[in-house]
Amino acid sequence: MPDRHAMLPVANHDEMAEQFFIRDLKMHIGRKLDPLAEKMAAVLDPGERNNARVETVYNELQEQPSFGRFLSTWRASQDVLWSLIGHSVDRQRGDLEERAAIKQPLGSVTLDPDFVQPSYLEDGDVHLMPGGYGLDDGGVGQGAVMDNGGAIYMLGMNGGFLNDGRGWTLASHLKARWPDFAPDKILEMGCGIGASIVPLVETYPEAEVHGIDVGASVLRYAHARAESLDAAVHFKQGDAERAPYPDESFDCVFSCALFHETSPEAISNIIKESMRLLRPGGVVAHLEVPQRYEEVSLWNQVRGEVEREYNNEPNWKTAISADYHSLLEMAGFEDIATGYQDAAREAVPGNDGFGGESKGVFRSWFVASGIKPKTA
Amino acid sequence: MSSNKRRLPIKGMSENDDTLLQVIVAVTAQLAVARERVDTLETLLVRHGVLPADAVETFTGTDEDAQRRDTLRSTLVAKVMEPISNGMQADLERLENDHA
Repeated sequence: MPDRHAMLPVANHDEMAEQFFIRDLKMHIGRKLDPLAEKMAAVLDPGERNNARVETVYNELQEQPSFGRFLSTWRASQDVLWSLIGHSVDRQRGDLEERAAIKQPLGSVTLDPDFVQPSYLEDGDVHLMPGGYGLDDGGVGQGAVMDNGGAIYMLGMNGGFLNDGRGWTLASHLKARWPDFAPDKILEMGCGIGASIVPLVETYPEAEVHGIDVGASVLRYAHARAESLDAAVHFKQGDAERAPYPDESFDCVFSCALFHETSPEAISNIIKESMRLLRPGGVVAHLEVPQRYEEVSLWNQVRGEVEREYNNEPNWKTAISADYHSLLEMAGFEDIATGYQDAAREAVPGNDGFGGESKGVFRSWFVASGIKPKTA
Repeated sequence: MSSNKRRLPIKGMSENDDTLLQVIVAVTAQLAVARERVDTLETLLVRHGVLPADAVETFTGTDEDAQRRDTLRSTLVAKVMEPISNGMQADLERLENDHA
């Protein structure tokens, strides 16, 4: 398996130094500054019985002079990350467009010039990436920014430059629960630059694989990226709440870390839409971050407020609080399971990596999965 | 260095922001000096035939090189960020005393 793909922007000497600097700055923030903020939060903790525990601590922290500087430093690391990546991609724009021009594609990309992205994405650029997922720069640039930035943002811990750890984990989950499952058609909702979809193509080589997302540039890039890895994927611009496919089109519908970037209403709508899109007997599997709100520390709950306000992650709290078992049940699914799948680099049939306990960030991912009943 | 006479506050800008921008401009000036010095060294090395022109751009370090650079970088980050962590440590100690 290659450790990178041909569409990835190539940093020159100085850009590489810049990117390593941002990576190390983020690691310093995580290892040195974050623990200090956590200790401050612990001192300010009014106790578990306080009804507004998280809000109280967050408000008090913001009264501390050094906390603002901590937030500002953290946000600056994010701002500068995107700025550096943007300049690097701009320098390579012509070359990237040439690489994206594929003569005999295995898959396809279908764009909708009248598409309007959901309001929750229109309101703020997720992760502060300028232009967000929806920006159409006429080419593949925004997708290249998202791909390159994402690998650094994840500190290389989600499959390095392929950033495909979540896709392999989802595929591993399907193999764990349904070792003999052989889907003909698969859909990823919110596929982004297609990092997670390629492992599904490799796991189910006989299947026709589709992906939808909101951004034209991101989808053009996703297509070129998949082609460079010899993966046949059909990408389409669309909203996961109203996916542009007929009823019962797929045998498997999945998403990877999509919900926390949507809205409370969208989570429920996307699960209902999964039901509509699946054929009877089809499999739904939605992967999310490996934390449950009630189980994370006070500081991480406060951190969620910070992410919401300053990193445009408006749905993080809802996404990790939601009762996915009930949501799947209400949508009509059966044989439902929710739990944690071990992070994987391959999908082995019948593996036993699914259970009720998270092993931590980048070691496990939360997955909710089930089956559409064969008879209504 | 003496302070300026009649350095009026800029409307709408806090003293903190004004100071921070001064610091950023000063740091950028030092960065420009370092950048130009590196360029001078590269130019001299190429001109005297010590290195080919693309030696820096095509440089691929060994694992040992990468480790040394990681250490250099993390040391630099820690030093530059020291006022931030010191401020947090001071606030933490004050809060601990207040809540003792």
